[in-house]
Amino acid sequence: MSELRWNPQLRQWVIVAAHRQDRTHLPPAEFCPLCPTLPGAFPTEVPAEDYEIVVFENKFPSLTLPPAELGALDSELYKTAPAAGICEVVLYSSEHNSSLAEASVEHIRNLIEVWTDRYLELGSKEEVEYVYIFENKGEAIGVTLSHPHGQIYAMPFIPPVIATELASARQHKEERGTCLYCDILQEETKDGSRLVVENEFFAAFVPFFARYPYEVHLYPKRHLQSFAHFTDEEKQGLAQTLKELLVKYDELFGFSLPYIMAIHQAPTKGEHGEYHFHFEFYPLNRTATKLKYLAGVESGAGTFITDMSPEDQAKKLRGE
Amino acid sequence: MQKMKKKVVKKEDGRYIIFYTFAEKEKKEKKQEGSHE
Repeated sequence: MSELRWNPQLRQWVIVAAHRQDRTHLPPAEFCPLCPTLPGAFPTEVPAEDYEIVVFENKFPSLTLPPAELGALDSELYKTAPAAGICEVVLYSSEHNSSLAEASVEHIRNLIEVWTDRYLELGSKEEVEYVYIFENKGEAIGVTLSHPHGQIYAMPFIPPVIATELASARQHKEERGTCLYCDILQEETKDGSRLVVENEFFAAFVPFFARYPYEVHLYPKRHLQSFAHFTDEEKQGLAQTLKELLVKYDELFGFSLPYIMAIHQAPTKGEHGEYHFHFEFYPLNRTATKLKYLAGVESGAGTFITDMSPEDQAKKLRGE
Repeated sequence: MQKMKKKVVKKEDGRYIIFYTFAEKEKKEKKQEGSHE
């Protein structure tokens, strides 16, 4: 089973989960394990003939409660830790050939309630430090099941991207007395050249510093740390913003655009008032037929090179 | 406030599955049931 291994070079944890090598890989639609179980048909993960939104424990989890016992490979330099946590799968719909972009605003609104429920419940567990909600969409991203779904990793540590964002937000607050993300939002809405969708409660934009093609960040206009702080109106506003953005993504090249959707919320332990909830979307298509690969400079040096200006990307997403 | 109901079921292998339903769907289902009466 899994264990955490510390990378002393990059000062971050790696999850070693060798059992995941044999997980189900792109089965034909009639054997989709995420569809409802129909009478007389093979039993799927969902023992029901229909469902609205479903969450279940991942069959091939990277993290478990209780965690697996550690191997004896650690040393003074090579630290290991239990891979304690929970991995869940969130089924957006019982319709196999659908996507979040095709869901109604009301259904997305319902999904936001589910995400909120999972954030609070998983975050309340003693072993969990961070609840990471995300979606890998499309074969280009490497999904193993095409049925519309997302995932949740309830993690025993704050992952490095979030840790860096928290440190930046803290430093910005100390130096300027303001929220880094509120200031970014102000900068992005000033002339609107990188805005993609905006309403009373949210703004979605290709950031000035975008790394992926057609990368979009979506911020609430109010300074909020997590789903737990949203009002009903803000949840409705988020559902509308997500719908508009995802439709624009699908209109970009005329097909359902593969992407990674990362929901960045505050850690569930401690005070993190300086943090600002947001979504980040990372598509990989730089054209309809060409993908952005994380090659030598990105993977080996950690520096991204983009082939199009964020301003032009936003224009294209707006349909101009 | 959106009226959400959750039903937690244990699967045969011990993993849990949570079914979420929403008031709007319940209302629609009741309306459809009513129209058959």
